[in-house]
Amino acid sequence: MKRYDNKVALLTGVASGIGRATAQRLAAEGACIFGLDIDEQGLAATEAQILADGGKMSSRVTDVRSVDECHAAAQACVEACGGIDILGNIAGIANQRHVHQVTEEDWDLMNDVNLKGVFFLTQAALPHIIEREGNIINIASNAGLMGQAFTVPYCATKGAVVNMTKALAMEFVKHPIRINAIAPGGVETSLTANFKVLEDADYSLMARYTGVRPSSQPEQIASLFAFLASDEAGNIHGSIVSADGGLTAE
Amino acid sequence: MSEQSETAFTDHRYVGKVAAVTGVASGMGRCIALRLASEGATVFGMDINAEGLDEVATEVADAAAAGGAMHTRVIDIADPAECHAAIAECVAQHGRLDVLGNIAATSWMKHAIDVTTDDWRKMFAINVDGTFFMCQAALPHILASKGNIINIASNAAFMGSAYLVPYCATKGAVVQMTRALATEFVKEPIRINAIAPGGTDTPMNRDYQLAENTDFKLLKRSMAFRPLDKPEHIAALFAFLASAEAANIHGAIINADSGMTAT
Ligand SMILES: NC(=O)c1ccc[n+]([C@@H]2O[C@H](COP(=O)([O-])OP(=O)(O)OC[C@H]3O[C@@H](n4cnc5c(N)ncnc54)[C@H](O)[C@@H]3O)[C@@H](O)[C@H]2O)c1
Ligand SMILES: NC(=O)c1ccc[n+]([C@@H]2O[C@H](COP(=O)([O-])OP(=O)(O)OC[C@H]3O[C@@H](n4cnc5c(N)ncnc54)[C@H](O)[C@@H]3O)[C@@H](O)[C@H]2O)c1
Repeated sequence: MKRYDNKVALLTGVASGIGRATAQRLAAEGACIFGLDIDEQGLAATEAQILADGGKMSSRVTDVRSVDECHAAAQACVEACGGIDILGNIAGIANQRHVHQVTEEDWDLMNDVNLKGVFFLTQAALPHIIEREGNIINIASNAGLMGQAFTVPYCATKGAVVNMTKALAMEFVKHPIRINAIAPGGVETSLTANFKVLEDADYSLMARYTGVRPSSQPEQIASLFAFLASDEAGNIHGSIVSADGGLTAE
Repeated sequence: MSEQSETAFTDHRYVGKVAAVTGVASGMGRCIALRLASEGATVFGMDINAEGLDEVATEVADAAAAGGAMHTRVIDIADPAECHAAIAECVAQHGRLDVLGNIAATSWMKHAIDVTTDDWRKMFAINVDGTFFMCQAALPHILASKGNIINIASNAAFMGSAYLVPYCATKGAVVQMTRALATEFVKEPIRINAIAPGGTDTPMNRDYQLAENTDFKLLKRSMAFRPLDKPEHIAALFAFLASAEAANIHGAIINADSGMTAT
């Protein structure tokens, strides 16, 4: 019997990076994955890979910025898989800007993906999670725990995810469910590969958040996710678990 | 660091590994010794309670199907020279040290006004000095094996708990000691983390005697909504965190307290 046999995991951001690695890890441990992403091609590639490896996965192209889409996606997961044991809010975006460059559009996009999407998918999934006594994991970031120059909107959304996780944990502390977050440091994914550092960035300000150890691999975040979402972590609730090679220890 | 998971899933992660663990005669330490041995570790189990140590060693011997075992060493961790001697003995016996778990500690409730100099120094000697000098003694061996250290802190490090002033101070010290050590060794291929449990069903928690004339209004936040945690959960987290599966977790303080510190 594997840890995730008979479990349904609704995961966002599975077309790439941490989301894909998490879907692969949980599927390898027996879970049925219901994967969401805005990137249709990447989503199909993840699904094909998991099916080829003998895992179970279905998927739905979903833009988490839309409240209706979040609710429709949770509903589709329940129809396809019978319920929801685990929700992983993994999709997210990041960029660098000077404060004066941030447009209303930039701000709204960052908030809608990283914060609004997390909240409304959680809202949609919660009744099902409660029914199965399951759990939720949000992917925050070291940026939610420290002040990072040139990423003010990103830090704001991730700080919000940190405290939203704790507030949700308190509101549901009398229910037999768990709600936690993982705060990764730098991870080698397309998010970091495509991250454009400002041409005139002051590197002395960035040094504080680039860290000393090499970046993590998405599989390392997936292994933490797989522990934290399992019954072995039954007493971990309302926690923000840092996995950042020592970045936030300093 | 960038090392990959040795085994995908949670089975025999500790075959061939040596783990020095304090406080194994009781509570969480006992569960951690059993868990690591069941995954194949050789446990060098330390405690001040000789009788309890022997009992746990028997339990480990009965349960260690995966080839794990436990060797015992009676010690008062309040003595830094003893910490160094015990770690030297462990390495002399087993040739290496992969994991150090600082679990042993003491706790009691008292009004701050009633805490004597002796009370204060004793609690610091066990909870803080014991943890630090074990780390200091183990570090050269942990560096040699590219191993890791886990300290047990507490929710009390993050909450200002009435009648637990010295305990809160010692656990705050364990948290900051862990973070500072993590930074000092960030360029080395080792990991140093802490677990901060909440109220857990162990003799320590069961034996708490309330301070005289306790004002229960001040203990409100300590009255958790969820039942006491099982020490086996702390052991499962320890076994994950000390394994290669947690290779990028360094300098982290992991709260495992059923939501106690979320508010
Ligand atoms: N990579 C890092 O260094 C790092 C560090 C800390 C935190 N994180 C967080 O980890 C999470 C995963 O990031 P990653 O590094 O794997 O990035 P990634 O770019 O590889 O993957 C993110 C995925 O989210 C999807 N996505 C973006 N907008 C969406 C939308 N509106 N609706 C649905 N899906 C959408 C993307 O298509 C992509 O597949 C993010 O929340 C990110 O903020 C990443
Ligand atoms: N039980 C809880 O509610 C709780 C909550 C948060 C943190 N903690 C922490 O968890 C750890 C384990 O505690 P537990 O609950 O298992 O307690 P416990 O009392 O069951 O076990 C503690 C062990 O430490 C040993 N010990 C005490 N002083 C020693 C000394 N000077 N030298 C060597 N060994 C010594 C004791 O003999 C005992 O076997 C402690 O660090 C404690 O502070 C416990």
